[in-house]
Amino acid sequence: MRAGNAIGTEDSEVMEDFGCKSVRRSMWDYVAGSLDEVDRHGVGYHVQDCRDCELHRKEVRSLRSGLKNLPPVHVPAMLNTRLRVIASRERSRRLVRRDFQTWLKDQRSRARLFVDNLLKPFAVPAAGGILASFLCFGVIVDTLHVVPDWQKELPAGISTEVAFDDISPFSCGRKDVLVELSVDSNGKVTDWKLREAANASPEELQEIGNLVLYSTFTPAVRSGWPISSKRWVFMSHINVRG
Amino acid sequence: MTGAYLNLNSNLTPEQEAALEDHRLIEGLRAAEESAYEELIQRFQTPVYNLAWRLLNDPADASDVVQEVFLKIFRNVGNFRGDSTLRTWVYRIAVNESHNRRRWLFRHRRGETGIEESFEDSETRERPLMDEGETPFDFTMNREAQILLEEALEAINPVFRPALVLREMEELSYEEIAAVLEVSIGTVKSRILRGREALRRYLANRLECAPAMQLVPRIVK
Repeated sequence: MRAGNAIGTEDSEVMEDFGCKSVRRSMWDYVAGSLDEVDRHGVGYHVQDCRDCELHRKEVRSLRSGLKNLPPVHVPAMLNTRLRVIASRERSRRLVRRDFQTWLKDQRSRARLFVDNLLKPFAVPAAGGILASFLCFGVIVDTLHVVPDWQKELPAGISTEVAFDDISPFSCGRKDVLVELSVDSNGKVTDWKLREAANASPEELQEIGNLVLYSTFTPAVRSGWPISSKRWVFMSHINVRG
Repeated sequence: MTGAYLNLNSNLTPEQEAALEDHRLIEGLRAAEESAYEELIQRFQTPVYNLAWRLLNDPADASDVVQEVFLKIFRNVGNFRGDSTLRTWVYRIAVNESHNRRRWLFRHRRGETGIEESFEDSETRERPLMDEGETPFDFTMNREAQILLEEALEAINPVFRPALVLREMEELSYEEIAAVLEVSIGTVKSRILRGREALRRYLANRLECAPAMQLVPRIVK
């Protein structure tokens, strides 16, 4: 198919290059207006005279406008949110890598967060356990009867000497006896010594021994603590009439 | 100082201004400025989502691809040398990610059937009202034309589709498309040409199969 019957000689020479095939190849660019001056004129002249190419031009124009007017697809709101999350994460990642101090700070906060997350699951059970134990103790505390032994407590400033608690049931034949007793911190007689031992007979010594050994004593106290000590004890013989 | 800066800017061509704007945005991203991240998302989330949606025909896959694209942008912005425009770089990542996704889908999800397709379709697309004056007839016709075009886009060879979408819908130049697809300009032109022809042929076949009502004038006796 030839075109250019209605145009001048020079133009018709130019138009010889614009056959239907080449015109249709350039039709999209012609419709888009992106052809250069010479091609645009050539295609324009051809289309004026060629009915098929004119129909093709209309078809291309309609198709092109249809493609251009296709409605844009809306970005889903969820995608928009995800993009912002990605942006925020990548931004903080970039900021952290900027210098060593920031990196160190970030690592510290990450470690703290890790520890928090690790301990939080234990925090509630632990608090619950402590409260439960307080509750149980509060319930049973009235049933506990602990009597503290206040009697044995002595003020730290008091100092006492050895004292008799109870005297032996065994009696002694001698009238008066002066004995030096060694009493340990438990109140037990560990040794004794008679002042006039030379005048005593073995039987008397045995009686005095029984008397001393079977008597009980309270030990001497220094600064609140019982200690071993010695003490002279005079035991006189008393006759009770009646 | 600000006035001098503005005067300097006023002498720039639109391309230079765009390049300056890209440079400022890239520097902002490198400096981890919050506003730069916000601006990048605002500028590119819709085009990238649309591109991925056109290449994959699935909103869920497109969402995944968009997330991957932005993650790559944020992580690799330090390596961006500025050899191409920011838009070209972003689109290249989007096209590559869409290709990867399609390959993955081909291997793993060939036999799957989605149950939420109709719901997603009605929820995510813009309402097809072109203007307030549109009649219900026009609305229906437009809607049918859109559906037909989208089917045609979906039907054409995936090799030609990115070039066609970038050219006709995103209005990139041949050079930019060549940079995005990493092929020669000749290959880009060939793909676009063949894509257009495939699109036109598909529509012609569809319309022939279902002829529209025609009014034929006759002389009334």
